[in-house]
Formats: sequence, C-alpha cells, structure tokens
Amino acid sequence: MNEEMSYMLEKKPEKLFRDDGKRLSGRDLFELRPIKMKVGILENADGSAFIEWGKNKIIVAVYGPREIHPKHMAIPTQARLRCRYNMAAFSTSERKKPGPDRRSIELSKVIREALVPALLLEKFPKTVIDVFIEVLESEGGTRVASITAASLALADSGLPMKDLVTAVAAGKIDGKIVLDLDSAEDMYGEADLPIAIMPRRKEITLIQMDGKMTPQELRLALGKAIEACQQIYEMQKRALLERYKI
Amino acid sequence: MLKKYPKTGELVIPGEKLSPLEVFMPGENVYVEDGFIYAAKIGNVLQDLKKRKVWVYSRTDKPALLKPGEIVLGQVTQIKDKSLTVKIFAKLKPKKTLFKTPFTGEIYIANAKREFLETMSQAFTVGDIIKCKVSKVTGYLIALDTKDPDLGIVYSRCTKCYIPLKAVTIKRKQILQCPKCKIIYPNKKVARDYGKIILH
Repeated sequence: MNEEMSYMLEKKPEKLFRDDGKRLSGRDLFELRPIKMKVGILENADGSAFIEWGKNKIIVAVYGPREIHPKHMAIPTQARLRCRYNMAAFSTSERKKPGPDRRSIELSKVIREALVPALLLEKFPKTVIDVFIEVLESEGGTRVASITAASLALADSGLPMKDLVTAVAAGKIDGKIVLDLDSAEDMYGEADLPIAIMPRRKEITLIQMDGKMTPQELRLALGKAIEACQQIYEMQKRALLERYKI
Repeated sequence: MLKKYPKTGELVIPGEKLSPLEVFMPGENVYVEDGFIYAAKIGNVLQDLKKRKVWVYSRTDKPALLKPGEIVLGQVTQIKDKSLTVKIFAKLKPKKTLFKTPFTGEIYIANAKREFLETMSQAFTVGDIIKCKVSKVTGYLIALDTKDPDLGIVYSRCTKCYIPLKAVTIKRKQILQCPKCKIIYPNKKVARDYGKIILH
C-alpha cells in the first residue's frame, strides 16, 4: 500500500499515538472509522454499492452473468469472476497516473479471490460476472473497503451467494495492536493484516500480512479483526435491508 | 424449535439459515449445506406447509437470463448457409426486459420456417429485427426457433434503398415490399405483428 500512501503524507509523524493514549485520528485502539454504505446507486449496473469508510469513497458496479469475450476464456463448469480495481487519478493528494499499475492489478486479483468462495458460480456456466471497483478517494485500507462494498453489490445484483464477505484490517503501530489502519498508520506502522471473512460461515477468504508480529500479537489482531467484521456485517445487513424493504 | 428460523414473509439476506433439512424441502433461491437450508438471495422467505417446501421469493428479476420457451427480440448479425446468428437485446415474454449486454443466439435452418428453405439468406437479411423463441440454453449457446407464424421478422429494410419495408397481404400471405422501389421479398419469414412491436 506504500505507493499510494507516499502521496498522502509528506512528513513522517514523530509518534503514532497522542499523549492521551489515543491514535492520531483520535480513535481508540480497536475503534473503527465511521462507515456508511448504500446499495443500488447505479441505474445501469445489475448491482451496485457505495461505501464511505473514513475518507475512503468507493463505488462498485457488478454486471452479469453475461457473455464472455474472448470465448476461449469461458469455463465450461462455472462462471468466471472478473474484478477490476481502479483508483481515480484524483483519489490521492498527489495526482495518480491513471490506468492499471502493479498495485491495482494485484489488488484486483486479491479481491477476486476473496469474493469467489462466497458465490455459487456453478449456476452460470460459460458466462462472466464483471466487478468494477472505482476508488474515488483513498485514505488507507481501500482493499478491505472494496471487498465489503463488492459483496454488497454482488448481493444487489441478485446473484446467488453463500454469504456476504466482510473485510477489515488489523495492524501493529508503535508496538500496539490496532484495528482499521489509516494511511499514516499503514505507512509508518510495523505491521498490517487485512482479512476478509464470511461472517456466518466463519471462513476466512483473504488474509495477508505485511510487517512482523509475534504469534501472540497475530492471534490478538486476528481475534479483534474477526470481532470487527461482525460489526461491519451488521452494517452490511442494514444497508441491504434498507434497499429491499417495502 | 422452529421459532428461531425466519417465518414466511420475512426479508432475508444471503447466508441466512432457513430451516433444517428434515423439516422442509429446498425450493428456489436457496442452497443446502450440512443438513440445513440457507438463503442464497435477498428476498422474502416463503414456506409451503402442505408441500413442506421453503424457498426465497426474489423481489427483482435479476440476473436477467434466458430460459427455454421465452420470446425474445434480436437482430440478425451474420448469415451462413444453414444457420444464422442473432444478437438478442430484449425479452418480450413473460416480461418485457431490455438486456444491458446482449446475448448471442443461433437459428438452425430446420427451425427457421415450416416450409422448405434452400439457404438461410432466402428468409432473412443481416440487420433484420426478429422475434424468436428460445428453444435450448447451454451456457452462452442459445438455440432459437422462428417456426411459429407469430415469430419471424418484425422490422426490415430494403436491401436496395434501405427504406423500412412494409408488409402487404397478397393471396392471404404476408409479404414484404419496399414502398419506394416496389421490390417484393417473397420468401421472408415475416411475423404476424410485423411493424407493430413497441418496446417501451
């Protein structure tokens, strides 16, 4: 995530904690940033969602199942899920060169793999489901916000799913385990641990780690992240029910 | 014991547990795992206590997919000797739907017309808008049928002056004719409601 973050902070902060023990953003150790979700915001997409996670603003659109081109890409037994994660040129404080780069290609792959276990792709053989993720504003943790929004958009598109996917990042800054890292903490912290889970099934679909943690710290971070996922899952549920209630 | 599961009419989201498999049979929009029935889509739970069946009624008609027996509207994009390719862009029956991305269908010469046809180009021209019935769906291959008198071309243009053709009845048979150059297209597979389809 460092490429993205390098634009955002010119100077390294001296400390990542305030004197009163809170983080620079004023949050407690295990406090999430404010999250807003909205489902069905795009008229022409089959399914769509918008998420505002702290200063992250992400739009996700889902199209399909539709015909796949080139046709040799089709999988005879199931649908293919294609993901495209794209950051807008104006999403960072310094202009980002538009188009796919190493980081966004990797994130597209990671997000795709986090979403696939939740979908019943075998119902639509030889077709494709496209997921387009557009990051309008970023403040660290865009991959977890993208996964959360993408699972909402997939559910909105009417595709059969086993469960929703919820994601959050845990990490370690100045020797302390914290939840939901923002850009400064991500950049100057010691470790970052984004995870995605299917909350009802209690299955992890994505786990990455960058930095170092002891086994005890990892266990604590993982536990706290899973707890936070349950919180986010409730928000996802509320956003979906809001859209579909009579 | 059933009290903790959602009741009929309740709104559920994917992954919600609906019932144990011993109590109900799984219906539409659900999946079965480890002896339990779960919702696979957002919608209202419906339980049929007589048939012992539980399913989820989806509020939307998404995803828009084609099923055998449905009537669709498409444009002829390619004509071969014995078959033609159709770009399907709308569904007429059971519900009018415009597809955001078109599907590709195919009509084999035996399913085009009741009368004998030497080649497909006798009955259709590239660019014709046709009404057809879905006969078989295998993945992205969609087999279509225009044998019925209700099915066939609903909009076509003259190959010479590119003016929309008009249907004229000659000897009780509907035939297409160009209003400008008066060319007659006698072998076209014309639908009964030629020129009368309104999409909106």
